Amino acid sequence: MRRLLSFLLKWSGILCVPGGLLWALSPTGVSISNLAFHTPNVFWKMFWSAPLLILLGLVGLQLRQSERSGLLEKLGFFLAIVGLVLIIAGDIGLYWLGIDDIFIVTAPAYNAFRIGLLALAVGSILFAVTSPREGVLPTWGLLPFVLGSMCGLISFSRDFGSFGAVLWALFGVGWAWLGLSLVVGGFFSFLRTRRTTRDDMAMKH
Amino acid sequence: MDEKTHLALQKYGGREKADAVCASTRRRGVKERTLTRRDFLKVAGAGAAGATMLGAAGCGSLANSFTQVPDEYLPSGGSRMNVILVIIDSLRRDHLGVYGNKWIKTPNLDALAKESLRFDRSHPESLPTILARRAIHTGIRTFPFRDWQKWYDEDVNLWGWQPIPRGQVTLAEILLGEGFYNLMVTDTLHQFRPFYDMHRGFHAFDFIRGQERDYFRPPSPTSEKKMENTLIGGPSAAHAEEIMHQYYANTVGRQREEDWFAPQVFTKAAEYLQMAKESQPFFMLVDNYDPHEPWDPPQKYIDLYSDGYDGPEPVTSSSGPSDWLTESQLERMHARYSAEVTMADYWLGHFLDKAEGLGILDNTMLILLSDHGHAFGEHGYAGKVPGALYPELTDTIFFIRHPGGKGAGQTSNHYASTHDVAPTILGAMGLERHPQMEGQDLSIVLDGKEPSPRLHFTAGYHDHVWARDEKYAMFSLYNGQDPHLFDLESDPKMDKDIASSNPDVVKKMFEQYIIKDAGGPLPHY
Repeated sequence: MRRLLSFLLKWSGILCVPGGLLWALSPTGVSISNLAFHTPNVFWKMFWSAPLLILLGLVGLQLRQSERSGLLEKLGFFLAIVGLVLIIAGDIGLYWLGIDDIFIVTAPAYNAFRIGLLALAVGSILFAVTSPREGVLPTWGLLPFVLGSMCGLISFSRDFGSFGAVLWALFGVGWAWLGLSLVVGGFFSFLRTRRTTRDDMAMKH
Repeated sequence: MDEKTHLALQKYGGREKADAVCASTRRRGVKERTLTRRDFLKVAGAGAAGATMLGAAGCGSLANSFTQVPDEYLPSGGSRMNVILVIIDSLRRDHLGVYGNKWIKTPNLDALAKESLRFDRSHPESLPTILARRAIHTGIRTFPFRDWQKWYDEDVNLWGWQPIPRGQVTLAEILLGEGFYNLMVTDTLHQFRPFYDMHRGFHAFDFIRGQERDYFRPPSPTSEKKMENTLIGGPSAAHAEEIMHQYYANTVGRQREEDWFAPQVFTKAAEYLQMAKESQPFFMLVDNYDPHEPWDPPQKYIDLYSDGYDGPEPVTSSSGPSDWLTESQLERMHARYSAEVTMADYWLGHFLDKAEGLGILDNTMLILLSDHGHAFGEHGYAGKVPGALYPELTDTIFFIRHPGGKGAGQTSNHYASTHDVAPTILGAMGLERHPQMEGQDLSIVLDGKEPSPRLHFTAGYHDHVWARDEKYAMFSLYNGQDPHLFDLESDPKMDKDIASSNPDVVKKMFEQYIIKDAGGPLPHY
């Protein structure tokens, strides 16, 4: 049971793939929601699942390299987690709990969502640029992730219309790519281990 | 290949073997990536084909949602409360049904008052028109008119009458910085004059041209003919005549009621609402000059308050003593004013109906106030006379309608004023007030709280000053000369001057109220 839990935690990084893809598709989701329900809020009501998947995936990624992570990488991880929690809390507060009184500017849920986006983008960039040192995540997976995170930082800062929607989608693609690199890396690692074992067996004989 | 594996390979097969495995792994990696890309292209091709099929099957709109780049990606939220500020010039408090008038017809203002928090003791901190607007726009008192600069010779020669000083920040500028879309509609002509930049901070503004002495059109024989039936006279006859020449020139060719000024202002404001709805949150200022003179509403409104009058029409006052007018002329003048009040009320209702129809009133705070009143011989004066600061001139209206119904139908005895408007709007929004602002945030009254008590209130008009407290009202020249004092408890209409028998009260009100509020001796020009 413990081994199973450990295995699941180790591979939960894969959840970045569906999380990132859902995130990348959200501008399209908003359009469909507008078209079908005349409001984007139906989509936003379901949006929390994307950051939740990314959050679980990020925890899995961090567990893989936690023993070797440096201060900056830990800070990036922490910022990204805080950002994701704020985004989820903001989304649920806005669209499920209706926390925001529409007659006030303070709008805690909305502001939590927007601040969360910025924290997530900054945290992602920090996490991505410091992770190659650990050698757990492949560089070819991290480089597009850095670019995607930068796109996210721009698109979260203010509404840039269609251009911003593309950047927003690229942010999601970056996370999906990172998760995918883990899958591919794991697959090759598995192949190598199997081959090494076979070679060892052959050498013994 | 990680470091551990590499070391393990070295241990069992030597460096050459380890490097060979690494190279092999790298090659396989490249091969795998090529396959993945191919797979991706296959999926993308299948997706495109699917989208085409969807379109062919009549699901074009849905397919478009997938294939077009959306222009929306951030959720909306934050400030959702819009603000509409309506200023009605020259509207006396005692000419509204909700304030006790039994004969005036103001159904829309009365209905709005019932949905609003109503201030029963509102006064401008200074008057008239431009001075009141300076306070409204900035939240800073215009009184005591220090450093007054008359900007050019033709400008109105009243102390403090000048553009908003450059160093003062306006409400619109603050809201602009907070992401509001700001709109302004007005026919208050003084704001169109050179250097008057009261529309600063507004994204869109519409000046309805032609009111009063707005230099809009040249006189013509048709407009000059109208002067024949116009009553001109009194202490400011030359000025009144000049106004009427220009006014008639400006209004040649009017046919339908929609061509009059209040209808134009509120109709344009209603048009703006449609646009504003797409740009929420917004701040809209509707600054309506009627019922300011000249009073020439369509005949149907005049007939509500006057009939059988046969003589030259008193279309404008001539500020000063009213003894140049006969009683019937004065009544006719008052009737024409009342007719314009009803016309403004009717078109305000049109605007409010539009706002309600668009659902804008559900998330919009509305503040409505007037800047001063107008005298019709009540104390021997007609017009706006600085030396006649009686209730007909100093008592104004002030409503706050909150979309959540806060304070609806309630009244407050707090001395509300023009310079409270900006802090009140910012306070209701949860926005920080600008440090320059001197007014009070009255929005807390909506929540049942009380602002810091004002034990007295002061105002200024040209070379005269005014003060009141719970018991007395007084006015005098800027230097305390020629004082007038009234006991508001026994004489609320201020008919019996008791200054000569109460010099101590006069002295106290001048020194402890007026001089204190002014921060020292008053300037004079």
